Amino acid sequence: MGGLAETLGTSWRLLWELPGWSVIALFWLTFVAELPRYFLGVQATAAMLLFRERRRHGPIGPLPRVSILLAGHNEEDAIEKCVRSLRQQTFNDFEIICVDDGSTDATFEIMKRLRREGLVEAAIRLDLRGSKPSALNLAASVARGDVFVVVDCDCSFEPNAIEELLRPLAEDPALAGVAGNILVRNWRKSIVSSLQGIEYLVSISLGKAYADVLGQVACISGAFGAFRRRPWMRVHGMDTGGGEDFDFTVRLRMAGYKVAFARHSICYTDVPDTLYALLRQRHRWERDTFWVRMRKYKRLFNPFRQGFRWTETLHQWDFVLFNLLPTVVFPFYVTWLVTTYGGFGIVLLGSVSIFLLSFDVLFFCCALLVSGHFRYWRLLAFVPLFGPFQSYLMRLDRLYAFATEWIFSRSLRDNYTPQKIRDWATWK
Amino acid sequence: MLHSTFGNASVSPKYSEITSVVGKEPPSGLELASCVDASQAPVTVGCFPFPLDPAGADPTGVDVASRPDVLVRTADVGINQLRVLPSLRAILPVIDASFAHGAAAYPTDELHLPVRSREALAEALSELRPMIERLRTLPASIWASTDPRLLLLARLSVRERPLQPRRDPRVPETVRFPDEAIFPGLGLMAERLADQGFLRRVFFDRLTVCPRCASARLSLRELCCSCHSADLKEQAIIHHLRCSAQAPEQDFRQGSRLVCPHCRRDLEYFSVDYDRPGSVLVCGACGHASSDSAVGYVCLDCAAEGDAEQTSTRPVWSYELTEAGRCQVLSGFPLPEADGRPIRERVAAFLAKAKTSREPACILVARLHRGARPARDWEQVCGLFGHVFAETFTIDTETIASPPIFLAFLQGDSKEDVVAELPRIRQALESLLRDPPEADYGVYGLEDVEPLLAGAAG
Repeated sequence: MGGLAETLGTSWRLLWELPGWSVIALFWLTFVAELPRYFLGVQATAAMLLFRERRRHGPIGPLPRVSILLAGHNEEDAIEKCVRSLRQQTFNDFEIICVDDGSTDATFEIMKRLRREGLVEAAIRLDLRGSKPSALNLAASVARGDVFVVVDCDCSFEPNAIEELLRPLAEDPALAGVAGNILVRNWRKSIVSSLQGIEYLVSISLGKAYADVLGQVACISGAFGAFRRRPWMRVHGMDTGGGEDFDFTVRLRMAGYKVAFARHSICYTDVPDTLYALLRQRHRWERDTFWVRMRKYKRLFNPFRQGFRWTETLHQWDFVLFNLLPTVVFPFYVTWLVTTYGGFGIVLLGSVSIFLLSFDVLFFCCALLVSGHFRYWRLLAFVPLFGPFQSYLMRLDRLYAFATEWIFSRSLRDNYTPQKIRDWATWK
Repeated sequence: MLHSTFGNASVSPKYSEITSVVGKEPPSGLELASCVDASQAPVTVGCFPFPLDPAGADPTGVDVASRPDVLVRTADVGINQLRVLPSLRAILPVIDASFAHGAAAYPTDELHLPVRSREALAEALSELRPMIERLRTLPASIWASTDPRLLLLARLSVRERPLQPRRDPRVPETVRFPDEAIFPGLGLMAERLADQGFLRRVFFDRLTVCPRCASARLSLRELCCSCHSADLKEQAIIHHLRCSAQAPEQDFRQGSRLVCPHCRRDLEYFSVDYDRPGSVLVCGACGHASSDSAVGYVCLDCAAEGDAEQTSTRPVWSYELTEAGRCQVLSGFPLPEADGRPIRERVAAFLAKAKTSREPACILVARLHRGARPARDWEQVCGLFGHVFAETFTIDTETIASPPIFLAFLQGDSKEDVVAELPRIRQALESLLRDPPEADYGVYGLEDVEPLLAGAAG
């Protein structure tokens, strides 16, 4: 015990006595990949509060007809709650198109009952599962609205969520799509879900708000987003393969459309509450992200291609610098620290974590401020775990996902998409 | 007593003994006789058309002792045209030998002779022998009775068969009881007898009926959920595997080719290029697409149209004789009266009883409002409310359920007491219903009811 205290004391003194360049050399990864993110977050909050925060209230202006597209596979437990939550909205002038994507449970029977009750306008059954993108495309093909709202069946909504989601579309005719704000519903269920509660607050409520200030909303989540029909049809709807929501948003942006983030439009979703389920989910998400960014749209990096746009390249480089690079370098960095400094290296890592904790707290408070949902303050107790959880565990998981995708194209074997369709994705 | 042969065929030894025919001689060319099994008591056959009362007097004056055991229809004449005792028409088995319109013409007849031969008649009589034995055990008071309810029970007892409805598309109800030809108003009568415990209801079918005219002759068809047009066309859904385009076939169809509306590629090979994972009903009128549809009806009798959910349902029962019914027949005692009195009479009776007892009394009336409820839902609500209403009061409280009005005759409670208790009664009534209907409640004292009754009588 005494030895540990002595080591900590020595480390702390050494850190203070190091010249500036040596500290940078020691913590270059932190300085390059992590600190800018934190500062950007603070800037985002400031930007939000100073320049953007004049929330508009009251009914939204005239809108063309709205269709809500609901596609699900084996969603018998969730579909009814979702539809009823939608029908409780302050803005209720929309049709709901439900597509049962080859469910083997009672999803379609529930959809039919909801249709008979007048809560749903159309219920379409597919005997074969064809994946979510094709189910959404089908829903869009039979929908009669000029605005499509895409929601996940396991989501529920704040009463004004749809109204707030549509508000930017009503106010800005140039907008093609709007991303909703997604928060965690089951954040009290386990430590894993609590940590995701923090993550969603930070990465969506705060991160997308900031991206919106910069015009860099790169993904309108398939869980909750709104699109105008014409751009949807122009870019031919959702495409084959995973990460369809991100892929679709990128195509909208590439076609020159503007997208935005509606942070007051709140949707709640359940997140995995066990570590195993979380890692499985994130494997899929990270592989899809890598596939879409680094394979499907790698041309966005090329400044010499026809139609090159800095705005599109920016979010790609953001991914590379702040996501891909730290993920790939991190294990080498840790190995270097430990092999160079031994136990002292571990102490250094701990020191960095403690140092970053203050930023995490600040960041979390900013996210609370931006989201306006102060009941999540209880998650503050989990913020000390959030940094190590993200920096070590999730970063390693991400590294594994990137590696398997890079080397083995694992996303093409993901059973989230049926085999026949994955075969086509391979041949693209 | 007329002895005759049936055709020219020889008589089998078993039925060789010629027996009696009551009434006048059968028409020429159709010589009828009743036959008898040599080992059994003789069977008396009545051939009609003929009056059992040769003098044409009041049929009730016919000597019951001279009644036949079996009637044989020799011409195309309905049994109701026979001027005989009602009991004979109701109870005696009939053999149809008219050959008029086949078996369907007289569905109540027990047997239809296939050919005019003595053997055929003999065989029919042999088959009817158990029935004949049973009718011979009926007490004389049954034969003299004119109460159709008792005669109906006797008919079922003799035949040992239930009162069975048959499907008949010629009537709006689409089912009817063949025995209705003999007992007009049979359905209501059977219901009353079932309420009294002499018949037992056995489920036969549940009919969907028009909410306007109660006809069961409805044409049901699929309708568009959006505009309720019947112009629906089923289309395959096509899924282009390569680009995830998925839409009804019409979006892909270009003449004889299938072309993806997203990527403009030709779809050539099923299951390689594209799948057909389902189908969708596309409305020709409004273009709405859905895999399911609304179901609507058109009444073929009154031309009313609407959603199938607006239709009512009506159960159809067959009726079996209970042991109580059988005992009633064998005893020959007259049937007790069912309480089918109109509400007004029951209110008057309650009023008289309350006056006599000099106890406070009042009548609680609940009236339900249907609102926009579908007919089926409304029936269920009324039925459930009726049960709850009856169970809310003490067991000796007389209640009447005549939806949408429900009455409780409260003996021993003053109007003021009941008015004070009304919120609690209301809460008790409505708390048990998942979706309680809107209802008005009123409490009427004797002094309120009396002038109403006098006015109604006037």
